[in-house]
Amino acid sequence: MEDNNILEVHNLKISLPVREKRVMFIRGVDLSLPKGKILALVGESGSGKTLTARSLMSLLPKAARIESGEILLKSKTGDEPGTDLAKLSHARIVNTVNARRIGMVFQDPLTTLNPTMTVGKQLAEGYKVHEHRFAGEAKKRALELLASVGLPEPERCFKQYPHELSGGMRQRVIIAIALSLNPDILICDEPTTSLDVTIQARILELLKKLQAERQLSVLYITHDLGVVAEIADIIYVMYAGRIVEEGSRSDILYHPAHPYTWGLLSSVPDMSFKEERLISIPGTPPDLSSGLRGDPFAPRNAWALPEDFEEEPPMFRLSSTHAVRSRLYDGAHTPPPLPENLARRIGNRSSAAEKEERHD
Amino acid sequence: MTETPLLTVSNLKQYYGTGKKRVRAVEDVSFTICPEETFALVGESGSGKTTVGRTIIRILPPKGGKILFGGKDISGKLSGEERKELSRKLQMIFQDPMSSLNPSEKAGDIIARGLDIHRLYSSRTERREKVLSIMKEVGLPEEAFDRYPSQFSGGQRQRIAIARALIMNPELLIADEPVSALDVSVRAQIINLLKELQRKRHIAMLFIAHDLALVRQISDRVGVMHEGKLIETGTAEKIFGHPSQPYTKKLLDSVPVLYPEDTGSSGTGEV
Repeated sequence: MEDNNILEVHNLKISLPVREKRVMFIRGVDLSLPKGKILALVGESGSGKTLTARSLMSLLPKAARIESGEILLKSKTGDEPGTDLAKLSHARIVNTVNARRIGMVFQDPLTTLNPTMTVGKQLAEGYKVHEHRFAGEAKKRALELLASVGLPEPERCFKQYPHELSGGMRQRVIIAIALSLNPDILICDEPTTSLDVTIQARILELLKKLQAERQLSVLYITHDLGVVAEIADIIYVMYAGRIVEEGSRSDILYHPAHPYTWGLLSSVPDMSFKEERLISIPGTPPDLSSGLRGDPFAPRNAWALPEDFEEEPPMFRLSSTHAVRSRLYDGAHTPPPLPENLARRIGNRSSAAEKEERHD
Repeated sequence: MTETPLLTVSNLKQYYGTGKKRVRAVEDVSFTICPEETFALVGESGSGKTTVGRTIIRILPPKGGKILFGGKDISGKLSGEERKELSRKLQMIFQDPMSSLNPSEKAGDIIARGLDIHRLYSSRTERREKVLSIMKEVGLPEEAFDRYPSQFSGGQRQRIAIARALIMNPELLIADEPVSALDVSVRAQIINLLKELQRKRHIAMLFIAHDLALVRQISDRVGVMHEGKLIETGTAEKIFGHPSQPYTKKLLDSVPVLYPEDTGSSGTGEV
């Protein structure tokens, strides 16, 4: 394991049964989460981002199977070699890794919480089960935590049931529960998708604040590139069970290289300018159960090369932080320029900023 | 503007529940939509925007106020004949195409439903031809006619819902969050389709959504709803460029943007 990484995933493959045969839904994922950074894993539904995240906590569906690969988690002290979570039993992960090392926040705050238990009880439970603390001390810790996630009246919230809270407050409670045992890693799976934009903005702010205060490493899963732009340090783009591009925030947003990334960025509507036509990616994602040949994105890719239909391209490195799964960058081809509308939006950035200054 | 509005909503009121438990969902909402125009209602969940749409199409009877559609008052009690007439000119598409389509009916029959009710064909062949031509227009292949909703992707299901609405040649289409259940890349396809169809068929549209960036792309005028009230209306340029209400500003500032400098405003201001 590299020194500054807290988690590394190598060549992870996960299969699920479909009509009596096993289909590979995660087809070799490599991922490195550096300590204290927010890594966004971006993809459309069915790309495998949630399955990848769940495998880290042994929360895969029963029928799923890890076929190969390593999930290396650095020890708390950092001096031993990483533990391979893919080799640990489910019970071992649940008892020693989950909550203590990795906390998770799910999409729907109403189904995550137990509707028959008060917030306080649910929060204190973690302390009692994992740390064998007495009720009094557990309560004190729980109240501190509720205050730290920005709930205005912790005492009152402690006694309330989930249905008495708004969606935003519920998500704060879940974040508090996920952080209760001081994990090093927080996995967030679309935590703001079911929330209103004004609430979403505040939850994102809270996550950034907690991440900085606690030196958390965050794996943030989403399909919303606007949210990614707001929160991520590092971005991985996933398509049909594999990473197709990875890089720093500025690599991916300002120097995107993969045609799929271009399509994703272009299909995010612009707030300041009305386009004649929105750019969309033609077609739909492939059905992995019907078998793949070559690059799964090739049929939707205007820049696909003949060999892409035969064999999936490997990753090509563009810089120490930026890599892309596309033969356009193999050195033998000349990469095409950015699509016009995207180049305009990225270019506008500097001119708009200049104009703003002159106005002031 | 000298054009006569196609739809005039004045002081619309809607409540849920009765007596002490009565909740005001919509309070004194007034706006107009001209022919061929797209008017968007935006707001957060619970703001009443969906209730407005449902009241106009008379899924809910209005509890107060007036709705004029094509010069006719449609806010009172409607006879069966009037309802039928209204359903030809006013159509709606919903957020979740999985639950708005009958799972046991073939796509072709779902689309032909309006034709069946209004007997708008003289033979089976004519019925099939009308359905196939609208399917082509919304980008569905001919084979889709005999397939069931579960055999389609989310985007294609929404195309079926759009075809079902358009086959009646409506004058006004109400679209309630038509793309929010779809993936980003598919969203753009459906929005482009709606824009194109609207231009070609000269339909007016009431577009109900919470996604402000999408609203920017599709609407001519925008109304902002907050707690049951319409707090601001204006052209899309005005609402997005120079909002006058603090709530509208807050809403716009909360939208995460890809390229922050795009907006020309400071963006990350305190909420």
